[in-house]
Amino acid sequence: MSTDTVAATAGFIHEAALHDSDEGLLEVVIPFVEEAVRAGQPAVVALDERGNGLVRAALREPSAVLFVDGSAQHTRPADTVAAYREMFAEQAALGARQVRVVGSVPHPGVRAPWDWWARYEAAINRLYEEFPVWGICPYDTRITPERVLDEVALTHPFLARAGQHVANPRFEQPETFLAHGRRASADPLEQTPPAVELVDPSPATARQAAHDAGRAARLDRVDVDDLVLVVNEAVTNGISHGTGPIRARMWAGPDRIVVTVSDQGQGPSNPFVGLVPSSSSESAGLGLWMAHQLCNHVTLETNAHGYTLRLVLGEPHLGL
Amino acid sequence: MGPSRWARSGEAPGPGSSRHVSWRFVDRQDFQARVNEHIADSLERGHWVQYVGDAPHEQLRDELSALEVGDRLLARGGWGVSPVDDFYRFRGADRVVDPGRSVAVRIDEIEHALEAGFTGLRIVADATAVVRSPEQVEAFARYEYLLDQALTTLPAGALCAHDSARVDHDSAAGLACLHPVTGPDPTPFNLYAERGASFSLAGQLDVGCRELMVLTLGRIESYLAGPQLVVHGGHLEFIDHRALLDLADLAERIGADKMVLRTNLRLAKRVCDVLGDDRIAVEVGG
Repeated sequence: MSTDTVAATAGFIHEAALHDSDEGLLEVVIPFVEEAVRAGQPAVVALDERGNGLVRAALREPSAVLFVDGSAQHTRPADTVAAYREMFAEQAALGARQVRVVGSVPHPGVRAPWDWWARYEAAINRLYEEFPVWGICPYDTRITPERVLDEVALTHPFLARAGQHVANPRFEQPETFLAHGRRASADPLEQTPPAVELVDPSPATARQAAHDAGRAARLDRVDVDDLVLVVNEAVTNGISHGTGPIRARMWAGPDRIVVTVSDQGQGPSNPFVGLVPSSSSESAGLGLWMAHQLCNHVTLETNAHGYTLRLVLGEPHLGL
Repeated sequence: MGPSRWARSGEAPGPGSSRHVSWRFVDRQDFQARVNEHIADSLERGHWVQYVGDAPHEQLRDELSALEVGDRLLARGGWGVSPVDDFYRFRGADRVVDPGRSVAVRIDEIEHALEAGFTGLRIVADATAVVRSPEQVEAFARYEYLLDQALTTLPAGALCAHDSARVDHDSAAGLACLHPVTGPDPTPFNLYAERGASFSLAGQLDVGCRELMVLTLGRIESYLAGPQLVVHGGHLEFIDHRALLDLADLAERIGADKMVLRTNLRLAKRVCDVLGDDRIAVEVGG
């Protein structure tokens, strides 16, 4: 598949750009953005402060490009999806034929957890496909962990190299990538005895335990409320949709609270659950979507033993 | 055992006293103890006492006089007894109450008590006989809601008791939750009248009581109207997003453009902010 074929692809074109230098980044980004400007089409650059600065300095006409703070734009995947979908819908309403976006997705190399961003990278192949958008996700191979690079290869249907845009033979359809019990990173705190362990708790019992654990960990009031809310949702989903017994565990570290809620079921059937709001309050979707907005990391894992939802408030452990 | 929750506004509640209490008694002794408390409180307040049960006048009189407080009541005067068939207004046969007509009669009785020189009316009723079948419970739940509305502005109180051996758990919960004060009843929340609001909610609203909540909102829906559904949650302990959405759906059905929840529960505001549903507003008071 050639550059021309990629460019002619309808809907969302999702491309990874691996680079190992600033020059390598600019070789891909500058022609990509300037082509949009020449065509009178919107171009958005959402890298971190340094990346935005590099691109701005290298562009002939930087004022024609919308620069967005990539760190703020990529805090939580559910918020990111909502923000981009709103932006794309606005641009489409204004008559844009194609929006070009360069956005850096966080990973442990930039001190962010990866698991939920891996789900994001897979899911947006569907969640943005209704929009005429060409998005490039640059990854600096000097700081990007091996597993991240491996999953970047599985979640991007196209690859950008200097002057070239080609199909990625390793790409997996998002439903495939997300469906089969993805391995999620356990937190080292889970190797220690939990502060709380409940079997088949009622939501009220789980809320009280979360409240007490939050207070014992000296969380502020808002964080205690958030912990109570997400634990309530996790246990409620387990009771409503899971297969018992439901086990809720909580650990308190110096900088974070880790909660796991497990059952013996297969977990939610919707592979994109939590990343977008569910229209039905009957499904697990809305509760998980709330958890994705209130937590600092959420993982969903299904394996031979069942399903585990992991929630982290505070500073998530970055290990892969 | 004292009341399990004082979820009410207005006058400070105390043992045996209340505007509107639900009590699911376990035996006659339990029932008589509650009746005794309420009548003792009525005597202190100068209320007319109306004792109601599924028995002839003579038997009800005997029950009343056999109470610990019976002699004092009989000596003071200002009391009456009513078999349930006289006390409630029914729709057709099968002792299914007519909520509106029955509450209208209560309001007349309060006025009569005031005209007779008493400070108000206290109803002490064993309503078991009129809450046995599903049709009876449906109608009686509506009666409880309307009565509670009336009791916010009138000098009166009511003990609505029923026999735990003859009224099933779900029916009992459906009736108990429409009282500001409940005894050892299986209701995790209370929906009751409060001035300045469409109604008040107290307790914990989560998935465990969602079915009951939705059922209850459906029962009172026809008595509500827009332009806003204003819910007071001064005694709310927890509310999840499902309950907020159920209230927003109710607002929509009654033609209100918004459901406004006024509460001290900051967590409710947090849920509202995350939901981002224009139909819901949570105002957190000081």
